[in-house]
Amino acid sequence: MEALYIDKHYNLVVECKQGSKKACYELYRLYSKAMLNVAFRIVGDIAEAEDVLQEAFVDAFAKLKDFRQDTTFGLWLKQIVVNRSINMLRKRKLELVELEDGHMDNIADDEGWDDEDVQYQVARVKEGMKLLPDGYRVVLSLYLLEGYDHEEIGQILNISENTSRTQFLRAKRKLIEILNRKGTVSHQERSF
Amino acid sequence: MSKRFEDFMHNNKEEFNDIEPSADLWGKIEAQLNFLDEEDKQPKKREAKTFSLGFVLKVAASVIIVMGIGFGVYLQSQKGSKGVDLAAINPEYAQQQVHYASLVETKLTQLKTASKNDPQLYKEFSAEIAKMDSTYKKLNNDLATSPNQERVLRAMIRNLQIQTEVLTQQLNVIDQFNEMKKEQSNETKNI
Repeated sequence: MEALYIDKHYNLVVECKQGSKKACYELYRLYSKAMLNVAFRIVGDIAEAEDVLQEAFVDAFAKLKDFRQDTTFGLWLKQIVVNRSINMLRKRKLELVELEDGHMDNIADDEGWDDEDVQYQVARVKEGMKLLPDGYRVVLSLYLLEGYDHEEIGQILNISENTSRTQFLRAKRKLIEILNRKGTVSHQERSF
Repeated sequence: MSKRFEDFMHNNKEEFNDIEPSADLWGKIEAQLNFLDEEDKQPKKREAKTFSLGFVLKVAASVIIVMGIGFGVYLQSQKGSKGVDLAAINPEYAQQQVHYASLVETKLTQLKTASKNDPQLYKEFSAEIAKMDSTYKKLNNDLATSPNQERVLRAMIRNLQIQTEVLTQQLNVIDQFNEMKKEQSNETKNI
């Protein structure tokens, strides 16, 4: 066996391919939550993320007979979810150009970029991510949570690997900014 | 720039997955995938199909039966009239046929009454007539398909004529026989 990926649900996928609804439901049960969160982190809206998830599963089950299982079902499905999520964002005219927010960058640079005082908490980071511009949030989640490298992100978003890299650094910087502000400043100033 | 943030994200990946899909989402997906439902919906569909197929078969069977009966009745009626209009072949022959046929009929009843006392004799005589009658029926069957219908009809009439002649002779024989019997009894009386 030369398989690089050993899919523990290999047989389930085979059964689903053969038309077993039970097997297909089992795959849905195993992957729907993770995939919904992937979609949500990209589109930034729960209702839209659910639409994406629904379309992605329908698409996946319909195309399943063409899936050669040379990768895991999870990775294959994630690709579909990510692509559909990006398309959803594009419909909303996302522009993945380098966002200009020099003002904030300068402040950050002036302060010498230190996150030593920041106490990271999952809930707060999540809240902070929701405040990021779409382009920043997408690159940040694809890189840190979805496990894609900059080359892959470049292909997915149709940008250069370098752009992905800088986008990520800016996103990270901005997120820490937000976290810092939220930690010290009152709620009113959150909405910039 | 420190990697603290990256490390934190990597270590807490799973905790970022906190949104649950709504309960009816599978239902929506399932509804769009009816072509996959070979386990649950297909058998139901097949069942429904079997029902309608059975119904169709029943209907088809009854139609065939009705048609069969109709065809049988049609054949029967065809046999009765034989579908051949004798008058169209030759009106004169047709008249003769009717004449001799009725003659045969009356003579047969006469024979029946005359030989009432002698069933043995009646059996013999009627067997002879029956033989000739079967020839007549054969001719009648051939009539419809015969290329020369007039000839067949003539043969049928000839057959009926012979039947009447035979019947007349038979009746004569019976008459003579009866008379002989009478004379015999008279003679014995006289003696």
